[in-house]
Amino acid sequence: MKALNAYWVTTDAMDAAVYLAMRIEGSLEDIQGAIDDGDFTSAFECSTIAANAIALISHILSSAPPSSDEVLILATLAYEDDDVLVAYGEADRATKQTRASAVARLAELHDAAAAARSLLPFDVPHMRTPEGFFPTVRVAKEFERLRARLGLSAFGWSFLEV
Amino acid sequence: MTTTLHSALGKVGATPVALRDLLGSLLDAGDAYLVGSLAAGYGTGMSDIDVHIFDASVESHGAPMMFFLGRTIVDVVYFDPTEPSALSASLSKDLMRLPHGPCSLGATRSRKTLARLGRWATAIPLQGSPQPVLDQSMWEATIATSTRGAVADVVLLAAVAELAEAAGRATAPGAWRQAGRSVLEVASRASGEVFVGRKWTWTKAAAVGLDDALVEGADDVRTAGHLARVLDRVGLSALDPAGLVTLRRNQVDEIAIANRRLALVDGRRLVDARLACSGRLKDVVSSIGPADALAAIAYGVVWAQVDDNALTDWIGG
Repeated sequence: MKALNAYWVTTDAMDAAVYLAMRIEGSLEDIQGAIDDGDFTSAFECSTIAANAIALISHILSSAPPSSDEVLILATLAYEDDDVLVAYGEADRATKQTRASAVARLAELHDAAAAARSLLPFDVPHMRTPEGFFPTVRVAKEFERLRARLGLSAFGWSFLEV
Repeated sequence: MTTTLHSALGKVGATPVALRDLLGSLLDAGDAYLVGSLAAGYGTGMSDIDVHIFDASVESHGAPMMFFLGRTIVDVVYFDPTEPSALSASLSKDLMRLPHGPCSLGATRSRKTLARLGRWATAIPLQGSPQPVLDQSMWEATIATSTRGAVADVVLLAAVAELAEAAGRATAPGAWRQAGRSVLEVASRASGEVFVGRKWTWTKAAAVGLDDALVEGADDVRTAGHLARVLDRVGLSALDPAGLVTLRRNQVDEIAIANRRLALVDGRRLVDARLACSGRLKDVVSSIGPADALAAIAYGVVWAQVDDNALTDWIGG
């Protein structure tokens, strides 16, 4: 493997990993839940939330602050002229979505999430599963130990608060 | 339709007995409630089960614990039992009527507080504690407070959209659309659907029966003019977001490296010192331009906050 900058790994990359685990996994499940209920309007809204969160990953890896705040996420995507927000401005009405469009969008977002995951320098376990939760906690502790060794303070989790 | 504990948990294939068995001794003291999207009647088969327990004997109030019931996540958070009554008592009763319902003229509450209000307003007792979490005599103030929070969000999202447009960003129509969609939240909350969560916007709009012209108009917003037309439908006048928003500086240290002035944000992020601004958004834009004002928000140099007095004037206007 190529050398990694340990400071980047424990700051921007850790932000992105936590964001992926805590914000993106659940948002993809929300889309599936809405599709299963036949609610394609909500599936569109959930897809927009997921698309914005996935898009944010690449910006976080380039030092944008992670956030759960809709206004800050919008500001980041707007400032960066992100294609996801451009596409939202061009998309059909939420109420015009169909099962086919919702399923296709979910597939695209799973691919986009996998691509975002591949930008990280390590594997992030799927946290929202019984088998993935404790490995995720273990990885978080390993990150914390490396941060301490580098002289960094404890990781700030507050951006996950709504 | 009234949501019962049984019907709420049934959406994720769970039962009250199975949940009580999972939580076991955690339910021995205090009052436990199902909260969140399932309790509010909006959940899907993929939703988490959220539980709040009000117990004075526990020290770790606010710290979440995660369990699994089958493959469904169960999040449990403890709270001090005095918190709901204190929150209810702190709500302003000063309000005005918008077409869909009340809107507070008191201070805008934080999103965290509004999320908590929404959860507690729709909580369902897990066992033997049938009293509502929140003071029911404050129900109108609860709705009004939640509505005001939604109005503030419209202003903030519109401010971002306006900056994006003024900065010539191709993202501006998408940003205006997001601001437009958030107007539905104003109407839904004013109508009594105070549970907070963007993903439930359309479910709530349908639940309260918002008319098609409002719903479609909100989703069609791509410009400030479109937004003004939708705001008119919820009883709000044309919006000047830059006059209603103030930028507050986060922890920023100004430094110089090789004759370049920089601002160190959050102890780790370096940006041009020009972005270390503060004050009324209108004045900041005049000073550094819309693109840098947008960058200052995006990079966390500042946070955007609605000016409460100006917001009240606008709502009342």
